[in-house]
Amino acid sequence: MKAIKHALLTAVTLCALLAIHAPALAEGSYEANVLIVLAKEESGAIDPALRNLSALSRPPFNAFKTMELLDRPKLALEPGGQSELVLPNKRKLRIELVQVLPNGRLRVKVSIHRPDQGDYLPLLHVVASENDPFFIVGQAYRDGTLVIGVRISSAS
Amino acid sequence: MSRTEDNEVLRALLSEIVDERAGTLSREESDALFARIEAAIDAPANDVGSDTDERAKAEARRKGFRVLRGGAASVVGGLLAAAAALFFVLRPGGAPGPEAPRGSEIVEVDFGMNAGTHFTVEGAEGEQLAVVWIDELEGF
Repeated sequence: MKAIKHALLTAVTLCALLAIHAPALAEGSYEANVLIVLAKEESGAIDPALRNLSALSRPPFNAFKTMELLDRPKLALEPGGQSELVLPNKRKLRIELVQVLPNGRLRVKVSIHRPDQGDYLPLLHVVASENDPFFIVGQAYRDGTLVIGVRISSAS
Repeated sequence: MSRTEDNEVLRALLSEIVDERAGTLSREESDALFARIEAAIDAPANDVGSDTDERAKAEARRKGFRVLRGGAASVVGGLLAAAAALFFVLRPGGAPGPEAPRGSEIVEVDFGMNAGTHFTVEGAEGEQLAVVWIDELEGF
């Protein structure tokens, strides 16, 4: 009887510990993998690092005959938190992981701020599956156009 | 006639019958009868002893099945399974269910002072990927 009581106490304690820590684990850690590409319509080379991104070879992206990968930063993200990075044109890209939905998809808010000017992109609200990117295109830079890809994945 | 008187009459009749029958038995038959009676008396005693042994063994076997540790392990196992289920339900993505749709989609976009559009392009596995395109003139 004493052994049963001991085993029950141990099991209940383990359950309580798991229940306490489960929400913290559910929060999880994510990272935003950002691709910063300079695209031009003039003939040139496509960066080999972009070849596995088939979306960039489809219309309207196939109008760009040159694609240069400028940077590939990673930003740590926590649900409810936001991170920032400075783009090559000195603007700030802000990414906020708003929520991890019950089906595992990610609710994300993105904005691009110009220093001392109105925001280039005040708000972009996206729902994305993990590892599936979305793109922000159109900022003029060095005689070309910036293509920014954002892909959110679990931090390993 | 009272019950006591009835019993007395019955006892007298039975004694008479037994005496009469006993008188017809030879000595050998009488010894054989007693031997059978003694054997019958001994036999149940041995059987009872055997039953007792069997019962003791069965009880020991039952006790073997009711080992305390086994019972506790079942309880612990059940509770840990419940805790594991709780853990997996509370994970991102929740309990296993229908597969979440692939791709990315725009819920809301504010282009600010710029002109823009949004659309989707197809990914490597046919998933739809969101694109926001905001035109901007160089140096604007």
